[in-house]
Formats: sequence, structure tokens, C-alpha cells
Amino acid sequence: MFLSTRHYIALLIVPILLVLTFSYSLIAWSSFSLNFSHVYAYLFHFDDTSIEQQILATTRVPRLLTGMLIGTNLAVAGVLMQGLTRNPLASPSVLGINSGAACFIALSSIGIHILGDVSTLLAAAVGGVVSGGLVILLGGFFSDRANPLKLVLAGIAINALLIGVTRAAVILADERAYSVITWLSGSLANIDWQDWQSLWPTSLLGLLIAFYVAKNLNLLALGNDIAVSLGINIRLTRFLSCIAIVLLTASSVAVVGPIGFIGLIVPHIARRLVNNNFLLLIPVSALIGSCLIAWADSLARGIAFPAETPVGVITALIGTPFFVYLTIRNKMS
Amino acid sequence: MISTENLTIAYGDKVIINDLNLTLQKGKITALIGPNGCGKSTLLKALARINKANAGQVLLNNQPLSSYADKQLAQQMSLLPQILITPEGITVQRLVEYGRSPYISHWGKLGDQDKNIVNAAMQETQVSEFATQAVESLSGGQRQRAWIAMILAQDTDIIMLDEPTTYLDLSHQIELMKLMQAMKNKGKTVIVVLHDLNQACRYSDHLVVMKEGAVIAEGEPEEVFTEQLLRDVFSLEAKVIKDPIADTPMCVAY
Amino acid sequence: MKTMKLPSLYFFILSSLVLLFAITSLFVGASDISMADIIHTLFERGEYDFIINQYRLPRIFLALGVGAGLGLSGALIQGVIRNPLASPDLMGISAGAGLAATTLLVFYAAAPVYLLLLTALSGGLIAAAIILFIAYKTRPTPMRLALIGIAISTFLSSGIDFLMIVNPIEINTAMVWLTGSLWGRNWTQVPLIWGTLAVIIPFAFWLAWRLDVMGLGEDCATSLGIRPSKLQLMALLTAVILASISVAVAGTIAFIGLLAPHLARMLFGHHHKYLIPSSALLGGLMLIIADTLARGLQPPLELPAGVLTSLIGAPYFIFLLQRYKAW
Repeated sequence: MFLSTRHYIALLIVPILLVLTFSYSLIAWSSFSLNFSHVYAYLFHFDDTSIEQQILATTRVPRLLTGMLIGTNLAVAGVLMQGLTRNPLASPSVLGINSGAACFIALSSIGIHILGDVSTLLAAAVGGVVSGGLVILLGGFFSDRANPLKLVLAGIAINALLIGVTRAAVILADERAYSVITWLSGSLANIDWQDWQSLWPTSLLGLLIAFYVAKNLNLLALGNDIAVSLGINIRLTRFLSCIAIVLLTASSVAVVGPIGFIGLIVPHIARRLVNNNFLLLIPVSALIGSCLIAWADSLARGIAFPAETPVGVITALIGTPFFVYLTIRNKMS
Repeated sequence: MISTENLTIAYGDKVIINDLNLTLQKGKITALIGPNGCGKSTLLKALARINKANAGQVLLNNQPLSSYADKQLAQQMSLLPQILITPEGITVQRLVEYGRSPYISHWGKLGDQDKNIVNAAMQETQVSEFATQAVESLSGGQRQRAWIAMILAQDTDIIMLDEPTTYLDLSHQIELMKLMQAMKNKGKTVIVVLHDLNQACRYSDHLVVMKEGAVIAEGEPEEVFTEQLLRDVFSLEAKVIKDPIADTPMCVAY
Repeated sequence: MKTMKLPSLYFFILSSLVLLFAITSLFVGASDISMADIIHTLFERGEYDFIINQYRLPRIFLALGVGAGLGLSGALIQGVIRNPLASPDLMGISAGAGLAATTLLVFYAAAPVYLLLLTALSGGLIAAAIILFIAYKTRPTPMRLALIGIAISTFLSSGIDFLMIVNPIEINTAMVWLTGSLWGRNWTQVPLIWGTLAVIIPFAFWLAWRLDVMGLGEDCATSLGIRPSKLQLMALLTAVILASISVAVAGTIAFIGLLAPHLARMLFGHHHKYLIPSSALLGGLMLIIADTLARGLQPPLELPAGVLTSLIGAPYFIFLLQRYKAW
């Protein structure tokens, strides 16, 4: 495979950015003043009598790792969705998958078990599939002249519906409207190692599948006919991509609630850096996604310190102007 | 009487009409002709104060258009645009009633006189029988007549039509030309952009020939419409002969 | 044919429905009060005076007024922009007014009502100015404009969420506005919305014929003596005022501004003479139903009425998407 200088620069910058992000996010905005020496000590000679190292070990590190993995998940899911639908506005939040997963989790957590007593992850996955399926169906994705904007608008409507259901369900169950807003916005506060444990296996599986289909997605981008004549099994590729999207999104929402716009923005940035090659697009998006969410989370902690802002609010504030820009710019027929 | 004084119109950097002085005569049919993009539609829209002048002005009865109030002006001149937007579900009657907009009260209530004028306009264009039908359900020719009825209901001295024959078949085109002559016989001034040169010669009293935003020639068709002009303006090699029926000039291209 | 022959019959039925639901709404709520007691209270006060006269009755008036304001606002916006997906909430006007109101309440919780009103109004105007500027610059298709509007709306709503979450102490005041609910309102807000309506409805009727003529396109309207830019500005301004004041009174209530004019068009055809009053009536009807349900579904808990309207509105929005083939 050919890599231009630009690619090398991109591949060089991104990891540096990653390291910087990682170390900054670990220590920024804490009630206890943390600095790099604590991080160094934590990494190389851990001492559990130090309160700073305790904080790092029990809250900061799991929070950062979980956040970054979620950023990775959402970014990769966004790449896959934009590749599959050939729609630059597609992403887990725009096409309703986030809110579908959130809605089913909310319903099952207040005791409305549509599916019997299942785990949060499964509820999220089913919710994501149901809402994503509805959006694709109602958005006319299968019609002859699929209109990309219609798909997005259908997603937005389903979103509004599901958020309404979620809010109503939770408010009717108890009066903690405040916690609903926080959770529906997607927050990384109160993450611990247990969350990380429940997140990484499904994420890993999803990412592996994504890498597996990357090559086929490259060929699919040339058009269905060419892909078939090159011996690609289109249905299998699509099916596997959908599985990956659902795994990545559902596991993320199950842990932190819906975080929007990461899946929309990151693929566009990544495409600027490495063009439309999915083999590079997926890893680069993963790295950018994890950096972006780490920065957003630092911001979320700092912007109204010491109060916590849900990171989803921050990503929405960054993401919507970008969405407007994409809508205006893309000359979609 | 309507005239332009050093009229200049530009879209962005592109000058469409440059420093134009033109006087159009009262009570006659004036046809604007010229190749595509020569600025004839732009000129018409400027006369109807839809396009604003970048420099110079349009005068109506020696007063600049800008000195008239919107309604006052709409009582003096009307325009049928080339592209017509038919609102969903609108009936012919209702469409023609819209022509009374410049006259009616604040609340859109039609008086008896307004209703009479609307009925007369529909009769004149022979759309009375469709009055309660939706405009979209009519054929192309009937639809065009309904729109003309609206213009007639506006009851103005000056009537401007922008390529009114575009989507019509030949018999409806002729019908429309005759309607135009009927308007003229009632003392109206008709200004029309036409595509068909022979129709322009046959039905107009005055030709204004435009090219690249300037008037190349104007006058009676017999004087203006020459083989040389066709070559200069339209890059068309043609023979100009006498129309066997109306005795006006007509061209036959070769 | 779309134009109905019996608009007055429809108006009669609609008004009766509004009245019926308004009366029903008196009986719905956390405390169970008998019909006799309610009638007694209405005329002679007594034991239930607070619940009926100070709590339920003003809410009914507010629901009707706010719903009418939103419906009318939607009718005007759709009339001017010629976009079936346009409405005050989908274009970010409601969210703009909501963000401004929330900001005010967070920093100045004891703000007097008129200040809240002015703040909401300026928020709505700014949001409208932003989207109009974008629309003017990019000339989007109806669908694209809807998307841009929704995105701006989302942006502003995130701003509201942000303010609510970082200022949890002031949340109780602002929360009442945020969720799109009529909970906790009383007689003080009633004259605001009804006063606005009293001024604006006659003006809307004045616009009616002109908006109809605008349907023929800008060129035609100009030659018929109507200046499109002036008319559009006036109608939009009216719509923004209505939507902003509705938000100042009841928070952001989604989809009524979209739905009411569409239903009105199905019933009454395309003439604004009918569309304007019927959109207002339908909007009032919808909000009073939503508010009654919000109170009555699971008393004593209250759902925000805005949640209920979006449960009905979102599916309808999808239906609209399916229906409009032309883009």
C-alpha cells in the first residue's frame, strides 16, 4: 500500500496528540491537585498510601480509558455508517441508534421489560437495532432514489420520539428529572473499573469486525456493481458492518448514555488526513475519536468546575455547528 | 407611457443591461426580441420594478417608479412572469380574484365591482366554465388563459407578458396573440417578450431588438426586421419575405 | 378538491371540541373533586378554591393561549417560507427563546415576568436572524433548511441543558420553563399570552390575503402591489413574537407549531383566511389535550406536556417526510 508524506505526517501527529491528551486528561481539573509526577509514580512505582495515586487508580484512569474507548467506538461506528450509507451526515446519534439504545435501557431499568429480564447491554443492542432499522426503513433508504437528507430527517424524528419516551418513562417512574437530563446527555462522571470491564470485550469484538470488513468497504465505495464483479459478498459485508456498528454503539451507550456527534465529526476529520481508505480511516478515526472525547471530557470537567457537565453536552455544542456546516457544504442530490 | 433613463442592471459583477435609454409607446403592442441571455426578460422585470436598477431609472408618466406606492403602481401595470407558480388546490376563480389585490381593502374582501371585473375577465378569456375547478387540473392552454384572466382582472393600462407562449401548442399561441390584440384594441399598452420572431413581427406594432444588454434596433417590424439584422443579432442566415396572410415580414432560415 | 365548502361547520366542530376538552380538563388532576363541587367552586369559591380557581383554571387558559400562539406562529412561518417542514421549534426559534429565558433565570432567578418576556423575545429574534442569514446565504432546499434549523435548535437546546446542569441550585426555577410544561403557572401569565394574541390575531388576518398572493411567487406578488421582502419580514416577525412569548410562558413545547397548520390545511385548504384561525384553534386543542393527559396519566406525577406533544409530533413528522415526494 502506498503512503504519501501526508499520511506519514498524519500517522506521526496523531499518536503524539494521543500521548499529550492522555497525560493532560489524567491530571486536569481535579479537586486534589495532581501533576505529572503523580502519574509517573502511579505508572512505575505505585504506592497505595498516596491519596493522589489512589485517585488516579480508582477514578481518573478508568474514566479516561473508558472515555477513550467510547470515543473510539463511536468514531469507528460513524466511519462504518458513513461508508455503508454513502451519506456524510450518517452517524450513530443522527440516525437514532444512540437514543434507541438509551430508550430501551431506560425502559428496562424502570421495570418495563419489553424483552424479559435481559442485561443492559442486550437491551441497548436491541434498542439500537430497532431504532436504526426504523430510521432506515422510514428514511426511504431502500427506495430507488434514496434521498440522504430524508434519511437524516427520519433519524431526527425518531430521535425526538425516543427521547420523549425516555423522558416520560423515567419521570413517571420517579421524579428524578435532573438525573434524566444528565444521563440522557451522556456523562463520564462516576465511571469505575467495573464499567471498563463491561465495555472492553464487546468493543474489542466490534473493532475487530470493523477491521475485517474495511477492505470490502473500500471496494463497496466504488459502487455495488463493481464490488460484486470483484467478488465481494455485499450482503455479508453489510451485515457484518451492521453488527459492528451495533456492538460498538450499544456497549458505549450502555455504559455512559448517548454521546452525540463524535461519530459524525471524527470520520470527516480523518478523511481529510488519510482520504477514503477504510484500512487507514478506521484506525485514524479511532485515535482521533478517543482524543476528542478525552478533550471534551476535560472541558466538561473544567468548564463549570467543580460541577460536572455531561460530556455529551460538550460534544453537542461542538458538533452541531459542524453538522450545519456539513449540511450547507455538501451538494447532496 | 413608460421609459428608461440610463438604466443599468447587474447581477453581482455581471452587467446585464448597460446604460439603456428606451421609450415605449402608449396603446401599442411592443415586442422585445433577441437571442437568449440578451437581457430582454431582465429589462421587462426592471420595467415592472421587480429588478432594481443599479443606476439610472424607469419612468412611468415621467415619474420615477420609486415615487409610486406599491399598490398605486400595481394599479397601473401588471406582469405575467415566465415561470408561473400555481399554489396547490387553488381554483380558477380564486386565482383571478388575486388580480384585484391592488384594489381591495385591508382584509381581502371583494366588493361587487371587483366581482364584476373578475367575472368579465374570466369571460373574456373563456375560463368561466372552469371557475370552480383547480387550476392544476386544467390543460396547458386553459391554465395560461386563467393566468391571463388574472392579469386582466388587475385592470391596468400597461400589461407585460414574459414569453407567454412558451409551453403552449401553436393553436393556443395564436389564441393568446389574438387576446393580446384585443387588449390593445381596448386601449391597453402591451409589452411582451417573444421567442418566435415571426409571431413578433405579425402581432406587434413595435419591435425592440436586443443583444448583450443593449438595444440594437427598434421601430415598426417592416423597417427593423431585415436579413442584415438577423445575421447581426441572431447569427442567422435567413431570407425575409412577406407573410402571405398578414403582409408583415417573416423570416425563413436556411 | 381541497377547498372545503363547509368551513363554518368545521369551525363549529373545532370550537366545540376545544370547549369540551377545556371543561374536561377542569376535572382532571391529582385530587378527585366531584362535578358538583367544581361547579360550586367556580361560582361561589369554597373548599376547593385554590385547586380549581388558582390552579386548574389558569392552566386551561394558558394551554389554549400558548397552543394557539404556537399554531398560529407555525401557520405564518409555513406561509412565508413555503416549506412544509418549517415551524418555530424546528427552526430553532423556540430553543433560542428558551435558552435566553433559561440564562436569565439562572443568573437572576427573581426576574419579573416582563423581563423574562423581553429576554425570550430577543432570544427568539436572534435565533431567527441566524437561520434566516444562513438561508439567505445558501438558498437551501426545504429539506436542507429543516436540517439546518434542527441542528441550530439542537445546539441551543444543548446550551439549555448545559446551563441547567452546571447551575443545579437555580434549577427549580428554570426547570419549570425548560421542560415545556404548564406546571406551576398561574393567572399572572394569562394576560401575557392572551394580550399578545389579542393584538396579533387581527394583524394575522390582515396578512392573510397577502400571504395567499405570495403563493403565486415573488414576481407575481410584486406586480400585484405586494412587496415580498416587507411582507415576509412582517409575517416572520409576528411568528417569532408569538413563538417567543409562548416559550416565555410555557417553555419549549415541540411540534405543535408544525402539526397544527398541517392539520388545518387538510381540513380547510390553503386560504390563510381559514388557516390562521383554524391553526390557532387546533394548536390550542392539542395543547389542552396534552396538558390534560400530562396531569391525568399518573397523578400525582406530572409529565411535561412538551414530552407528550413530541410523542405525537415525531411520528407525524415522519409521515410528512413520506408524503412529500417532490424533493
